[in-house]
Amino acid sequence: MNNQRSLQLLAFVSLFLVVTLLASSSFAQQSSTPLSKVENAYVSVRAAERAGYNVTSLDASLNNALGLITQGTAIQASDPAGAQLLFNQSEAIASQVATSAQGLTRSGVSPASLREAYLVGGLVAIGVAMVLVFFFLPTLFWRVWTRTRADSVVFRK
Amino acid sequence: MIDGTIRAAALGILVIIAVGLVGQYYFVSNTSQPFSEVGILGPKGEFNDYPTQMTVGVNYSLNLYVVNNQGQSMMYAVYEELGNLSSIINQSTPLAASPVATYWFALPNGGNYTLPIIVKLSSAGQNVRLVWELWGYSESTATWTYTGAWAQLFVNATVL
Repeated sequence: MNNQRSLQLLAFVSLFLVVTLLASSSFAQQSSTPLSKVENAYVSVRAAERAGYNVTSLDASLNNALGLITQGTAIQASDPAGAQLLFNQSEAIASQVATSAQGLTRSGVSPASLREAYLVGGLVAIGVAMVLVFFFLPTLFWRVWTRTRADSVVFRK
Repeated sequence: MIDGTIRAAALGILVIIAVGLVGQYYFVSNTSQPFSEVGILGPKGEFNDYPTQMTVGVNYSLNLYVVNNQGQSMMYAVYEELGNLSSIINQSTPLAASPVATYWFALPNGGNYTLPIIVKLSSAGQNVRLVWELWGYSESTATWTYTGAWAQLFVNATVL
């Protein structure tokens, strides 16, 4: 009797979970508009830009995708099928842009990290040079100075 | 005495190099005064030949001009709205009206874009205020926020 109740409870919980998952998946599909696809692609482009990559061509593609959304929105009432076609093209461009931007950010050391590394490396090198200058430059200077004047004769008045 | 002078001169040169290195890194990474701009141009893409009279239901050609100098790529939306003389709009408050049209752009830092647009009024009125507000997409909040930039045009709209 207890086992039967447990099974019923388990079945109820499973059903609840399945319904919840289906509902959330359906909601996610509904909320994915052409504009939200471009917004997501833009976030990927910004991540690549922050990493120091040149994203001018990706921006141009995003602008094309947004242009199609602008056109589609303008004709949506009079030509829904034509508008949908434009929205689909826009989504395809946005997906390509997102893939390219994510590919950039995943490809090894970013230019921003490299620039930071150059800065730190440069400052460390300058610091080392300062220590060397402080301790050894006067000695080196006088050594060179006496060598260059090895043949000189000093007259005393 | 001379040793101290030699040391000071050499260390001074190294300090100048270090400051130059840090300065270059800083100025490459930052834009001093970020701004966005929106403007409305006449039918020929110039700052003239603006219509002052419009007939209801007739198409008028204008050009929308957007500039990005935010120091980063930007995604913009320009909302075309209608108001009148008493409508309030400023750098912090957008016009309290629903958009009659929306135009979207994506621009790289330092980029600008001119888009030909068609304006058509649906009702008559004196001093109809056509407003184009510039909104930017904020990736941190995932929302569209008003940039404080707008352009406007006053026309008298009549019925044919």
